[in-house]
Amino acid sequence: MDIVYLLAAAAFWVAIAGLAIGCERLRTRRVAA
Amino acid sequence: MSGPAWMQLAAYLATLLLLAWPLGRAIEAVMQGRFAWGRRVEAPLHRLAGVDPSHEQAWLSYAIGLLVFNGLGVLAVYALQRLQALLPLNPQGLAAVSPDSAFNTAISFVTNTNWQGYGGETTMSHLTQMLALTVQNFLSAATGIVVVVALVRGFARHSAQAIGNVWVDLTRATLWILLPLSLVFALVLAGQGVIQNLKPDQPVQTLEPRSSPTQTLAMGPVASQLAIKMIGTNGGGFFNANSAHPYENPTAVTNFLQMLSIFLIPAALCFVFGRIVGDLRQGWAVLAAMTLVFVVAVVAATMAEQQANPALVALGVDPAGGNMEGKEVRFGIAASALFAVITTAASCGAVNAMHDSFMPLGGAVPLAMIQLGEVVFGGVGSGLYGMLVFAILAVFIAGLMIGRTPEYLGKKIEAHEMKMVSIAILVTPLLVLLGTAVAVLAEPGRAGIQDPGPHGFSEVLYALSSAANNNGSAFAGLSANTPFYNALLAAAMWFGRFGVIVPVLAIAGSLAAKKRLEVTGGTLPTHGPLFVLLLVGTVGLVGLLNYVPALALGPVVEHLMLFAAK
Repeated sequence: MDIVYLLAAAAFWVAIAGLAIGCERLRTRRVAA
Repeated sequence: MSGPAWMQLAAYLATLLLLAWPLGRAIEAVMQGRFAWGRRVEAPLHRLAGVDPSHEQAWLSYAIGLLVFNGLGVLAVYALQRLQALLPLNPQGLAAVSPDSAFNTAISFVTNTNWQGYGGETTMSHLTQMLALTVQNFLSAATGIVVVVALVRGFARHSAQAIGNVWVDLTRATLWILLPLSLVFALVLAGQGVIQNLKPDQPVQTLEPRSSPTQTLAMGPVASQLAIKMIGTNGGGFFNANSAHPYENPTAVTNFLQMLSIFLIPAALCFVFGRIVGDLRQGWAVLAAMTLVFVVAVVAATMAEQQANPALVALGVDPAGGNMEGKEVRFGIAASALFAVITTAASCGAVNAMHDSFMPLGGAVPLAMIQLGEVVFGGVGSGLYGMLVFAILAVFIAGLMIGRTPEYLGKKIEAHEMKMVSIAILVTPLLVLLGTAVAVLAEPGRAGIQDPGPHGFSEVLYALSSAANNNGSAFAGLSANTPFYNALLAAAMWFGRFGVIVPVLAIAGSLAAKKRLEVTGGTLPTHGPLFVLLLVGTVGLVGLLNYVPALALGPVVEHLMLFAAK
């Protein structure tokens, strides 16, 4: 079962890193506009 | 509210202010790099880690660094729990923690929530308590401090790309703020009778040899964990009974000091904010808004608990005693209600009474404090950055009302900041309400409810509110140490923490890059009573809009049913 929870933790981490990158894209898109 | 309860509240606030003021000066000096002796000690550590302390980072790099740091924390805490049976300092020979509980606990302690589905003394070895849980108590609190300092730098800087160096900030917050305070507090607590040892459980002879000849007393390194549990607004107890346990909260003095230590850094950070932005009045305004909400909540909770339960009165119990169910006789109603409001206003979650046993409206107060977003003093760092997000929303609303571009502390608030504010404010209600809906619809979710009806709904709502807002306290009736709740609450804790931190850091980066505007006749003053009321109104309004229907289904219905039965 350990692998299931470690994968879940990795997915959580990736989702938040994705949010961070998405927020930065929103900011730079605003500057470009 | 009784006279002694008012006196206790007044003494509490006065002492808090007295201590928070100098601490704010010290924190500001440390985080702004003016603690020269500390910089000399840090230098070899930075060299060893390959960190250049003079290199500052843009917000995204800062956020990713923080995520890597906390992600590694999750792995370390998970591994220590799963391997504890093979590791030293396990005198009771405790088995490995189950995978689902280890997953929940790892995320819980990394996110500063300290939700505990397990009983500490029967689940965690001394090594796990010290190396996994206590260490994360420091690091998660440091995470909160560095995020708020980065946000405040965003307000203070102009035309800048960087908001600081995350590794330098984490080192300073841990070494020069949290460690010294915890060391001193742990010694005081040990002096008052909190235990600190590495012994196995001790069997003792009881005074009632016929009914129960021996009793087993759990032992362990409690004082060292307890100090940072309170100072870092973590809240995870060494013992299952948390601060209701006599070894974790032995005297009235420790009870008062524990309450004080919860708010100490959050209050001091208001002064740090004022100092860094160069206008102390701004810090006072935020502190005043927090205090106003807090005092109202204390009065409401205390009055609700000083009321007797009509169901017990009908059985002949003297109503003069109020509602003492689930409370330590040592502390009584006033100290229990005050502790409950403090621990839920801050995202601490330590308890000295069982919130599940509060009167319906008494229990609704801690629940509502959590649901306001943990911004009334709030967690270490997270309380202030949450309140500053609300301040941005408040100036935006004020700007809409008078038709001017909103600005706060000389920074123009534009569409990007408002998008980030929206994410930061809406992510937790979304997690709470969706999570509660899933839990009460799914069979494994309903199976954990001890009390059917509105109280059972309150138990689930409280659990999700506590997890998503990183509080960690619980309505004890919910059996949450199951794979379903461990997974659901872990998701709520993780996204409730970092789903807010990321947009807050994005706001910091965006504000730092802006020019500072001059104050004009059209600038909304953000240091006066009008703004304090606007801020309180904004926090209250958002909370009401999000949660009133859910609260109506839980504590409000329970209150009406209880008193209708009378």
